Amino acid sequence: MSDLPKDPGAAPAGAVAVDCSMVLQQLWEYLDSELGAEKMQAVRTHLTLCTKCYPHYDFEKAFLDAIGDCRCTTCAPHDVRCHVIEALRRAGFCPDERAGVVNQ
Amino acid sequence: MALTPAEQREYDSSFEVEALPWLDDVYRFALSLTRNEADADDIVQETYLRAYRSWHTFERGSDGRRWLFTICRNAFLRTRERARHQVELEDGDVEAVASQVAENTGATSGDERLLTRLDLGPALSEALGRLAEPFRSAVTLVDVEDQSYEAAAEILGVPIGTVRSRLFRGRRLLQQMLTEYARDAGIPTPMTPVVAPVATPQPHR
Repeated sequence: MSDLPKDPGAAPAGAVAVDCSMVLQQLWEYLDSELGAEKMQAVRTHLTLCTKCYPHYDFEKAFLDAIGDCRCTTCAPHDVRCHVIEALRRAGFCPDERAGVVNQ
Repeated sequence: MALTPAEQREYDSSFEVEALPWLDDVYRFALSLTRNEADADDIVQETYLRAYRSWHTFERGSDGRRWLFTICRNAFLRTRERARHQVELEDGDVEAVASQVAENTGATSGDERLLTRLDLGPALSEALGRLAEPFRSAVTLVDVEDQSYEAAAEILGVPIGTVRSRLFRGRRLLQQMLTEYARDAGIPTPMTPVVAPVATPQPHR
């Protein structure tokens, strides 16, 4: 039997073993940094070495980055900000004009 | 117990500095829940009023945005309960919907360049707006508002496993919608690319 790993991204001895199927299954959790430290490292190593999995990683990362970009495109309209401040003032809130947060 | 004028100033000042800067974030979350600007406006007002009245219970140094999202979600649920005209999918229905979603989207069809050919901003905003609850709030919290699974679970009042499941299905649904959007926009299907591959960093060989 050959000593060569079957999987190009196979883990070195002693490390957490992951294969392509496991990496693809856990890709989103990896991108979300929601795997444990050892698994994060194992997936990272696998992706560095495996040409089959990397395009999937590339696609999913671009996809999640694009969703994250939605954050920059929606802000509270000025009216909403005014309504909130008015409602708070009616409840007794007295903003510090010097702080300027209210007028942002 | 009434606050002294100095305590009241401190109360208002800390609220202004720690809670008000999250207004855009709370509005985005409210809008993702209501899908209606007027309703989101009401929810945001309600959220901030409740937050102001409960400000003394907020643990200084903890995550103010997470705290506000939780209040916002609760305000939304109360409003919806009052209105009783919006039916949310139960998890059983969710399973049925999710099972209809094709698993083979962009990446698994072998074309990671699909995303680069779409004008993603408007397409994604529209797709997010069309995404059904409870997927939308999970995707919004984790992917747009950058909350951890744990934080999203706390805000939504569900176990982490449920957040993970809703999030992943929501993402798959979004990818499916983007694929449909690409087809509607006349963009060639993933299997027939017409533009040169976009250069992407390659793994070490």
